[in-house]
Amino acid sequence: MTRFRVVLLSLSLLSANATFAADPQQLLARMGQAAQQLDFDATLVYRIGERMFPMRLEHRVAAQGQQERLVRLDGALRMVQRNGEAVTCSLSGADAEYRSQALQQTLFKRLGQGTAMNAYALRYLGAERVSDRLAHVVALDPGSADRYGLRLWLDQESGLYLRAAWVDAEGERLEEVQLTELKVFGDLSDLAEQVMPTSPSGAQELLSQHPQPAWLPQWLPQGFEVLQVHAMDMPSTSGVEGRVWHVLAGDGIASLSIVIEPAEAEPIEGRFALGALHMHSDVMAGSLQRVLMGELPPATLERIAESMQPISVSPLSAQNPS
Amino acid sequence: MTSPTRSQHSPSSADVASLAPDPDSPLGQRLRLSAAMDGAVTLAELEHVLDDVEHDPALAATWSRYHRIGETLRAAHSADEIDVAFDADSIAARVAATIGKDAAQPAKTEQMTRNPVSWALAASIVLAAVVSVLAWQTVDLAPSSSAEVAVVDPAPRIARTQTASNNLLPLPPQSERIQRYLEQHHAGQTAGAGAIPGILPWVRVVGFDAERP
Repeated sequence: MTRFRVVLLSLSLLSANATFAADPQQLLARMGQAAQQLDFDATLVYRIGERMFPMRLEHRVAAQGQQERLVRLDGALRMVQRNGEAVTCSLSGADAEYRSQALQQTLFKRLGQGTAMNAYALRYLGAERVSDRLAHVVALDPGSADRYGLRLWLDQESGLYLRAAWVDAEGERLEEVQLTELKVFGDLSDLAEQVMPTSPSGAQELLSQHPQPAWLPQWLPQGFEVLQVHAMDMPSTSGVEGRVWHVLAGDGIASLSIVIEPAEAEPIEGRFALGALHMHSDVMAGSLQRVLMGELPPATLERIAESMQPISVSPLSAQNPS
Repeated sequence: MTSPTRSQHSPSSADVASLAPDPDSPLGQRLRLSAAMDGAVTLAELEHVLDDVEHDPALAATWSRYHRIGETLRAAHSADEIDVAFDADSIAARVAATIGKDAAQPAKTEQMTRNPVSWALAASIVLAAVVSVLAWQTVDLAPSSSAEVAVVDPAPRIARTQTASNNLLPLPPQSERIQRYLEQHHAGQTAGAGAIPGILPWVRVVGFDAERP
């Protein structure tokens, strides 16, 4: 049997669920490092339902931080770029820019140390071929029905994600991203633990600057913490003057955004889904538009919404909702 | 909102016969290769396929391409999981014809019957071509009847398309505002609030516009 034939059969065996020992926690940590430190270009497909969207992703590490660009390859040109902490959306109409200061409580800083990881069971599922590359498959299975699970296919060579899928409690895939081609530049052996600059404490710092009552949830799923609270006096997205609150929470895997702003004449009310992302929107306190959005089941968003109350600021209560 | 188009043509048995290729033609080699990937060949046939791949770089490239297609569409292979209205046979026939332009030679009907690989391959590609409407939609808020966490298999099933019985609604008219909420949420993800690093979670935002009227 020739060497070529041996290679073919070996790959077939690997794709047929051959498994070997691998630490999923280490694989996730390596993914985090690779995604921050490697230069790479990828083409990918985002799949939601039976729809597929081809896109291109470019990632570079520069002196001023990470530079990324995500472009949709068909239909209208839609693009999101990141330059360090600045994220610019070129979607429809005028560009919008957001600042995304690195958080302290990311997945990779919480691995093995936090309550968040107690909410998920980490499993190594084996090796698979994905887009002509060998991948480790890692499952993050939720410990309760109040959140979704995540599957990650991680490139054995570079550590980068090749495929990611959110799955519900019945194992059905809600949405998925798969790289169909990946080109990695640079020396893969040079990956090292990276210390990211972080905000001192998003929730505490910002709440202390805004001593007026804030609307915060009194209940969050286990492992979730309020990560940032932004309050701005500005025209809301509806154009109505007033204070706009944006609360960001997460457990390191799923995230939750809560926006409170003055309601316009025709507020958004309803419950919507986009893959694993769900949105709960209604009017509260007579004149406030409340929007909850996150990779959480709709019933969980509903419960969080029902728990929201105006509170006089106490940073500790924001950090640790009961 | 758009909906899948139902084709008006179904292939006849004559269509099937005309698609059956010469086994030694390039198409025949590709079909044999596809059958081998599906495990639908005998040991002797597998040996034949390996010989073909070993001596034909173009066929080796085809092997690689089929694997990519299979990986991408794996979850969509189970047709009974997909709730869409389309004439799969007809589209499959056209895809199969496109795959093999040299398939015009007379061949035996039983080759297709015995080895339905070309139809399997064509059907898998058809699934990629089928587009249905699903983006922002209402969801059933009924809580899960079971608190148990299902053991999830390594290749999760594709979520069923939600139908009118699930109160499917068109996009809210305030989609500009919803997009702004989406952007704010995903800016938080880029900061590290979620598991997927960097800008990748923005695929939702970049793709969102496709659902707008």
